[in-house]
Amino acid sequence: MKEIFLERYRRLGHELMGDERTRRAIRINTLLESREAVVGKLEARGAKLTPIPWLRDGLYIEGGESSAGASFEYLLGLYSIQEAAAQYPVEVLAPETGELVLDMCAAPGGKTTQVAAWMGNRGVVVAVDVRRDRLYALENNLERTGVENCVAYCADAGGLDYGGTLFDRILLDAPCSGNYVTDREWFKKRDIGDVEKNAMEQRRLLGTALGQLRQGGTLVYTTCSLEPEEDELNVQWLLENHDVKLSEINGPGCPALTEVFGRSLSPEVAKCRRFWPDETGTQGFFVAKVVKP
Amino acid sequence: MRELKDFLTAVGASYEPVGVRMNLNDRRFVVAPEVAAQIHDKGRLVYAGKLLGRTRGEFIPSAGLLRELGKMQGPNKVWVDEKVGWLFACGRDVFAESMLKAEGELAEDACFLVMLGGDCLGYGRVETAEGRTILRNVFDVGDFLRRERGIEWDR
Repeated sequence: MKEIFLERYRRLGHELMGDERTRRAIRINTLLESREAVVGKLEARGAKLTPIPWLRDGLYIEGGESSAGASFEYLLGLYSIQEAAAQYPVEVLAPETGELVLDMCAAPGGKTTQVAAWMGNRGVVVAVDVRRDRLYALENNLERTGVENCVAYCADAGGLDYGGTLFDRILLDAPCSGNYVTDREWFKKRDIGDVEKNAMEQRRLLGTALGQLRQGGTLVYTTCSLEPEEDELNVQWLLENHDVKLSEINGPGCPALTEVFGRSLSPEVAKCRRFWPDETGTQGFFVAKVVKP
Repeated sequence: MRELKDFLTAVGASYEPVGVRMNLNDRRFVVAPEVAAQIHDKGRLVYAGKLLGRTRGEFIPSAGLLRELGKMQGPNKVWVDEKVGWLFACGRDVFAESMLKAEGELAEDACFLVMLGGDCLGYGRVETAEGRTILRNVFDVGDFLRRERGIEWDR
């Protein structure tokens, strides 16, 4: 399978080796302490921190007295371990204090706690995930990081009673095929059939998301898949089947593809952002910012 | 919430949660009104607002409640150094001679927050064992690591 996927990436213009890895990154939890205070505490323990220029609260971390996941500061909720690219969708969503935000596939909750931090614990985050086993991690993260404005449900986001609420912003971090950068066994586990199956489920979730979004609201659709079927082709489907507009994302990564395996897509799709591991030094990622007119 | 009151009495704290009280299985929450207004499907709710703690025979406060109590004047507190603090976060008890400072009387059965500087690492109950006074660990923030074992990390 490895060669099949690498050949697909070659056809999309990227000569990947299949063994790219990412640097360990953390996100400061500004709900509990300032970035400066937390950085000071970690540096006092010998950690080397490098700001990630395209993230508000993200830093690369190396060294230190203890591992990043077993320090007083981690246990006290002052930061979370979150890969750099995985922090970017909430930056694009840019939730504001007092808003109503839906996090549709929320567990294990890294992005949910990030949304709450951006909102300063004011307003409401409705977090939904269908998998009870992953929601335990979300609950722990909410408790550890001091989130107080979240309600979390174990449900399919499409089947939940929202009481008529339409949301200001929705984050759809869709279940996807993932990518090999954060999973050494990825090539052994995946085949193209998975990609196509995931793409269908993602389209269903996209339809649900648009139904819950208020007019003028923002939907951020994101995956950690490098496969265009789950990324650009889903956005193309969205443009063809729903009344939506794309907002241009100016940031890390590169414009999304508009030529995919011989198929030409709308030039609008290039407003989305794609993270190639060889370019960004992160895992593979895709982010689209959709506005409901 | 009788159990919460008992805990607050044991730790010598005065605290009144503000918001809508809510129970989910053994967990006790307080929810701001605007957050509570978005609860429409209680049957599938797993978390809401601020977790105060869990009732497992006795009330075990959440990390968030301990964080708040740790910043208040009044509750019983003992301060420890980093080494003792780390052992405590690994589930160990604290011996009286390892305490840097105590606020409150180390009386049998009294509860004390364990402080590392301005941060609360958990709490324990005073016991006497073989003539030595110890603070028996009841809850510590290392519990998060113990819970995370076997739970998937964020990407």
